Amino acid sequence: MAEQKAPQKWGLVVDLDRCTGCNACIAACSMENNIPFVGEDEVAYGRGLYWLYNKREWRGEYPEIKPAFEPVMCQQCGNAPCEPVCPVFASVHSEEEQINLAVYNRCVGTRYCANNCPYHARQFNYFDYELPEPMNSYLNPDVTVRRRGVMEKCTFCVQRIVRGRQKAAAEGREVEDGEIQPACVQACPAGALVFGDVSNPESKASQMARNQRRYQLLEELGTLPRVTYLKGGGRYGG
Amino acid sequence: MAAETNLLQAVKPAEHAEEDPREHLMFDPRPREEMNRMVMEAMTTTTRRYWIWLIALGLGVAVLLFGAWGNMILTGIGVAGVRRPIFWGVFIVTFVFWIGISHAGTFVSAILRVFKAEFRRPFTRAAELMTTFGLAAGALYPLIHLGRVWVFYWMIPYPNARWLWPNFRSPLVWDFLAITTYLLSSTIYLYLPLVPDLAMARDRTKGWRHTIYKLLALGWRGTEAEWYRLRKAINIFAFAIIPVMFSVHTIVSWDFAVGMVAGWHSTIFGPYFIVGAILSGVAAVVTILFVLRNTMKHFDYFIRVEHFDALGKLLLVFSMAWAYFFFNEYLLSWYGGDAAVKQVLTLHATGPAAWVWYTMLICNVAIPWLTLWNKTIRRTPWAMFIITLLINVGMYAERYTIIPLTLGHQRSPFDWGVYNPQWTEISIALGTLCLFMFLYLAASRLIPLVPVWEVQEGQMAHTLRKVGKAEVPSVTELEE
Amino acid sequence: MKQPKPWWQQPGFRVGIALVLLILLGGAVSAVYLTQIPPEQPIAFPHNRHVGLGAPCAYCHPGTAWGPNAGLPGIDKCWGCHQQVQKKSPELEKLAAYVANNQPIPWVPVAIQPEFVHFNHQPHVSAGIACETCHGDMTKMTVAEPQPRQNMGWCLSCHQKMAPEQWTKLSDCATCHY
Repeated sequence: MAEQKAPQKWGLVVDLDRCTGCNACIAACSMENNIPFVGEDEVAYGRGLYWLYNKREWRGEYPEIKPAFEPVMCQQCGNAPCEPVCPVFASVHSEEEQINLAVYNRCVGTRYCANNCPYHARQFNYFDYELPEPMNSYLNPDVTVRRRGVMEKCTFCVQRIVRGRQKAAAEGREVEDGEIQPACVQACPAGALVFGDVSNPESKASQMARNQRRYQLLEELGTLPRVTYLKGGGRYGG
Repeated sequence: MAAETNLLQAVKPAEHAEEDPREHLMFDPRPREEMNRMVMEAMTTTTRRYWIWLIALGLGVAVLLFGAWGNMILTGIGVAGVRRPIFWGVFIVTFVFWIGISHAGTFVSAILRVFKAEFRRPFTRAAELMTTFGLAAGALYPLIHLGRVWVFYWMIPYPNARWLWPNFRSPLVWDFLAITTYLLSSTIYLYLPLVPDLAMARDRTKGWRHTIYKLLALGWRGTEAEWYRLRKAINIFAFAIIPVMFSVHTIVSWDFAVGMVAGWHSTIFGPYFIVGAILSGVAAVVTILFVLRNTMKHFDYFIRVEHFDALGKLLLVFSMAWAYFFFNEYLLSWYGGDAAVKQVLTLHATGPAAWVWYTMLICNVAIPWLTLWNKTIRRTPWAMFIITLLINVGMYAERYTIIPLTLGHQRSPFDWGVYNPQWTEISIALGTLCLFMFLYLAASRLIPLVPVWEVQEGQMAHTLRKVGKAEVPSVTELEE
Repeated sequence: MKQPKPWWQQPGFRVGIALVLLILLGGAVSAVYLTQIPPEQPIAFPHNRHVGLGAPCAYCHPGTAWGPNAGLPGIDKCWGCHQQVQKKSPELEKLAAYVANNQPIPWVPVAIQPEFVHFNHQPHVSAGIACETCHGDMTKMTVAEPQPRQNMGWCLSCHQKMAPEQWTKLSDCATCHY
């Protein structure tokens, strides 16, 4: 690339009107990112490792009760609370990708970042987890398998971003809109998740984000999240 | 402050009539050689009970601390009770507790020295030892709570092949630097006034003790020039260590206040933590003085009810100051109007773990305020022992409220959680208590626990003068 | 009367200390040495001869052109040439045996990255970095030898030197670690 251009700002738009709460995004995320299964007891105690979890709330009074879903992943804050508190730069802002990185091999496990994250999006490896027999064969070689004592979180599938960029550079072109998709976006059957370059006003994600229904999680904290939600109207299945 | 703590001003003429000034250590001098002998005897006398305690505590350190910690390193932090969203638990609570305890030594020996509070003299060393050993116990926790303790050195700034430095914006790096500074300076500050006493011990011992004291006393002969330089050094250090002490607990409080956790992000945390630290530290000094007075030979001569009385007054003042800051936290949240902070503070008092909050208030406010105003209670050592133990229970509850209970109820109610401490955490917390007691117990028979020269200096300065029929205490200024 | 020597001056004690020091030193030296010797390969492949004959590296390791892994040649690739070449050496007999049994050659990779480092050959090759910059001079090796001191600072210093205008990108943690 000859001329220096502004780095792409990756962003995610979640249309809650389309989310059916099917949790396909969670399954896809776990498979893509080598997230281990921690077992029933650990999940019950609150140690389930999910980079992406579905906040399910019940609205209304019985029997007129409806679920509301809100998939929550790392919001890739532009002004992230987890970054300044890490003593070793394991939680660090990527100048290139404009997202928040979790550098597993640098993490010493103070867990300060996780306390400071208002979205509770960061997860901790409490133990070394073994994947059961057939599952360990499809670990993703592009993603580090984390060991005990390390923080981890949604990375917007940075391995796919890096790979997509390298592919585009090898072919001598720019990355196209929609070419790079995190696993959750790829898996969403309802198309509720849209990923793209939000610094480009023409990208699909930017166009979707210009919506009256838009809001961001805990916007008032000034974290500048990179994930935009479109408020759902509560019309399920139609 | 000086007026609060100065003995001579505390003894008011009206009370003076009923109180014999000879009850005070400063007006009850004994010959130099006899006092030296008393301290030496206290240091060298070891009973069977002492050895049983020492061995039991040593086993406690090995099993409760290092056994449980080793197991945790090998299996993972999961054996502790931390969970999302409560990533800090008993470890950080106990860390703050020990760093708090360690403030007493500097407070007693530096601030009271600077303000020339005479009652400090016999127990400055006991308090300074608490600082050093409290820090030693506390400084383990930043390592214990790490997920990968084997790479802890990445937090140290040193040039390396990775071209990486620690993040100097992180409060944990400040913490690391502050604690090492404090540990170093408090150790030096413990050592400086120890030199003349080590020389005293050197001249009165044989064998291995003599060899050690000879090395440690640095050839002290007690000439005028040496005394002049020592006094000067102690004076400089006393002033220099006070800001270090304030900075350390302020930085510990910044671990929380710098974060954006609702209930932590408060400007009041710095002074709030310092006042809490001094309250818990002075309480621990009283606890230890009671134990020393009852277990060590001749200590009933050095540690007297007047000292419990004076420290009791200090405790009452600090308990009130603590209550003020506690109240202030609510005031700030009410004035700031952040709904999440308000909710956290409400849940402290009404949530499932509200008993911790009530324990804190009862032990830190109700009990000191109801008892310490009373001179009879202040002058009853065993009552003071129980009260000060309860204050430290209350201060532990305060840190417990601030850390896991606040983390459990953050801005998104979907993610609220309850934290259950596990046996590993409790074992390690008890293990550091064993470590502290073990080190203290060992040191009590290795170094003179009473700064003899300070007591003698004080007794030389204090005299009873006859004015007509009355005997009036008078004190000479020793320093310029 | 002759004073007995204190324990630290006893010859036995001193010899013991010397032995312990010697063992520690020897252990350290051999540990360093052992990491530098090439692993046992199924066939003692003479890199020097092939490179000397003018075979380009990418002929046998073509993955460098498009992907992260360079790739190790299979029997088809070797046999493509060696079918025509006389099989005089015992090493070639081994190759012939693998071909006869239709078995893959169990090459042992030498230049391996830790699991948390994601190295991609393709951008490096397209940037014109010569193979010997990282893999050493193959004209002087038979089997591939591990190269010393290839740590993170080594990667970074090259990134800084070769492409200073792209330093932001090339010093980003996500360039290699994810």
